[in-house]
Amino acid sequence: MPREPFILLEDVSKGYSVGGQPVHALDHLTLSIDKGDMCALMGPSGAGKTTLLNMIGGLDVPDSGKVMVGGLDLSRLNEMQRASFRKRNVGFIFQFYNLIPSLTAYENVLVPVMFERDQRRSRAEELLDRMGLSRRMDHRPSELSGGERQRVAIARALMNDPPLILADEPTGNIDSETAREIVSLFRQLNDEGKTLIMATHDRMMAGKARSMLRMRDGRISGIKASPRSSTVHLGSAQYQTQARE
Amino acid sequence: MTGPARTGIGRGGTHPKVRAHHHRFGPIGYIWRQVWGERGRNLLTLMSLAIVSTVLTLFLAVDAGLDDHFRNDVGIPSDENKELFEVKEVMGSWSSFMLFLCASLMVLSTANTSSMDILERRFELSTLRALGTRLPQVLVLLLSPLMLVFISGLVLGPVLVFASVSLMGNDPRLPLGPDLGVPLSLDIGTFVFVMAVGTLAAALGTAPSLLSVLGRSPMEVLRDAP
Repeated sequence: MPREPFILLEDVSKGYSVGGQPVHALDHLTLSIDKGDMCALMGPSGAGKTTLLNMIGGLDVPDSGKVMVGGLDLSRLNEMQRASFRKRNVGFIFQFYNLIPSLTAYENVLVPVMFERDQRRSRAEELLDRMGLSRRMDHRPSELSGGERQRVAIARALMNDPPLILADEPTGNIDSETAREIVSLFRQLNDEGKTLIMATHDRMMAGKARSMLRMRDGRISGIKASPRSSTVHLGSAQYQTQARE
Repeated sequence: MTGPARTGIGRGGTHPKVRAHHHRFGPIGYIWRQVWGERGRNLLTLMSLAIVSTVLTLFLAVDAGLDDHFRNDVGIPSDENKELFEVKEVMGSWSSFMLFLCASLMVLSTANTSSMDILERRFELSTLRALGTRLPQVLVLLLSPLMLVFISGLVLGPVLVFASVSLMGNDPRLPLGPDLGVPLSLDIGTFVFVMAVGTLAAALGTAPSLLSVLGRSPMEVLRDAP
């Protein structure tokens, strides 16, 4: 019996104006991704990877088409509702970490729950510990290396225990050794049931994903599934591989 | 499964420091970090607003003091009354200009600080929005540090003038020359008026940069990230 897709985009288009010239960031894109997938988005700069992540994460709304995540139509939500959706369901990891410079690593991890009465501070500490940063909790971002900053950003993304993690070039600014560690961590999170979608130029990272979508000019130009269980639907076609035992 | 040994990323080998001491971190802590983090700029803004609000309060106090003086005057002409009347005439012709000048300086001071602060923090604010912080909460985090500095500056001026006048005893006067002291009169209305002018000026000064950042979607701002 076919499962309800976790992420569903139907005929989604999004355009911008850059220097007065219209740019089709997403061009009539139809795509669905199942829960528990680990999907890499590849493609040249300007292909629409970040825009696609932002659509799925409820940071942006399409000009036309429909974006559904977990059965919720994001195109119909107002800004306030999308903020609540992001807080509960999405963990964002950015290329440039986007940590708040005046706060310590520990405080940065607590930012998503800053306004909550029950902050689950022990969770923040455990997450930083899991990231290998238990000795760096009281350090500010300027006192951390690129890899450490990204790990703080990952801990922050996990603070609300979201089912979906969106990473935009998460290894774009870190050395290859740390990148490997972060990929390994992403695999662990995926094994724990998190759905991960990451935009990347890093072939090693893409190779570790369950599926890979190649984008060009706002469209999916190719799809490849690695030998791990995965289901990605693209338009009317379906691509599926079974887990290698 | 365990993570690589070099940094211990993964399941985590609990360090003794973990679960030891960490504090609650809420909006007040965040706001305080912003105020303290830019303490040099904030102090400068606070001082400039305090100076302008002091000048405005003094001007209003002199104006009210002269009004009171001539209202209560029994009509005996004196050299002092003549000089005070000249002062009153000069002040009357300058009062609108003084009010405009003080309000403009307040707008400039608040606009300068808020534009720098808001534009410098635009990625941070967009990140907060991306992480699910709601717009009213972002506004609290953004505006509270600014308001704290602006209101402190605006209050400081009148408070200093009130304190000085109360120390002068029953007949407070502002010395304008060796033989001339201009009477001062202060009441709560003066304080309220200075605060109202300052608040309006701060709102005018802050609005353009606030709208420029909050009018854009967080995604648009983050796309400009370096």
